Amino acid sequence: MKTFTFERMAAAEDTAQFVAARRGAMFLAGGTTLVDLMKINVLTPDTVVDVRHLGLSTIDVSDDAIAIGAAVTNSQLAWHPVVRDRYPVLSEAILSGATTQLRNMATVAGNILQRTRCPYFRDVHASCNRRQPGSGCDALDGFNRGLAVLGVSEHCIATHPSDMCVAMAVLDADIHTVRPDGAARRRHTFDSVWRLPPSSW
Amino acid sequence: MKTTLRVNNVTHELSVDERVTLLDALRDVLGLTGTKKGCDQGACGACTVIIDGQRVLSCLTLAAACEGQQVVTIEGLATGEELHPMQAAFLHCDGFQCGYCTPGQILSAVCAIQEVHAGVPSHVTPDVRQTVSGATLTDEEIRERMSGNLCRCAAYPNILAAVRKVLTQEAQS
Repeated sequence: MKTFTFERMAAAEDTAQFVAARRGAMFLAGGTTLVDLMKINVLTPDTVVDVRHLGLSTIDVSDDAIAIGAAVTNSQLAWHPVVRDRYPVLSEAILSGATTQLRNMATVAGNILQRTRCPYFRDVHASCNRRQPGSGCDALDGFNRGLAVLGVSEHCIATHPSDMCVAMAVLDADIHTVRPDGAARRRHTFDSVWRLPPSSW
Repeated sequence: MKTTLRVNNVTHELSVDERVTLLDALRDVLGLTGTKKGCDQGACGACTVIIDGQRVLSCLTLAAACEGQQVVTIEGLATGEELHPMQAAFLHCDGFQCGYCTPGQILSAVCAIQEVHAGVPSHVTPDVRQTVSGATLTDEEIRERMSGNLCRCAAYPNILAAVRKVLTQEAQS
């Protein structure tokens, strides 16, 4: 693993500012993807910023919606009585993936933003446009039976690995983000956060 | 960097490289070798520990990220010479062969039972809206709830028996 510095901040805005201003800084939440990929040198941040202590771990219930904090764990969400009652598809989707230990660590925002589990992305000796833009895609002519069926381009055949995200998309969830410049928050429709592979890298 | 780890109710002031995982800190720095390194990539469950009451994987947890949290390892489960009921059940049911996955299995089983008592569903619960109970938990449910811990010796029938034994004991007491 490449060396890095470890940071922890008190407020979400400070953390967003810090990471936005520093090339090579990455957020660390559950660590189930980041630490794994750092061990095999697929991700090599120079700074890791722990975001599990920013007060983003609550699920707020109102009459017609729930607001899920970015650092809520997958287990917390899947096991929440209101989620199970109103949005059982979300509980079922989360419980269908990984293991209890991983779901206890993995966060909702981390799940949304997780990296593909395409085996060529994880292999630093393979060409992968997602890991190294412009290097090509060995998966297109490789072992790709488990990869994408829809949304494939001539540059990438990777899938997004999340079951939870499928349920979120079905439920028309919105994503609210904090801007580095402070209080202004942006709202994104759930399916606008990802883009299909571009026509060139 | 300097960090503070609280493990089995003992506070340790450590100076560790940022890259050190909780697993390596436990084993190599604190000498708590009960926590095992299996796959080291989050797939096998051998490194399972309990942090703030939740079972998690120490191989994917950075030691530096554990400051302020309570870590319980297999060394912290017994009370003096008295084994935790789950440890005793694994012995009674012979819930292992080589024993390498056993510390993770036992810590995972302890939490699995707490989760059952909390009534939370698993992937095989017929309806996630229902509240499960230990008295009616099927073998399939126990197997699913323990599926984060692999056993290469395939001692699964006896591991299942050990978890069942603790559930039964609790129902009787």
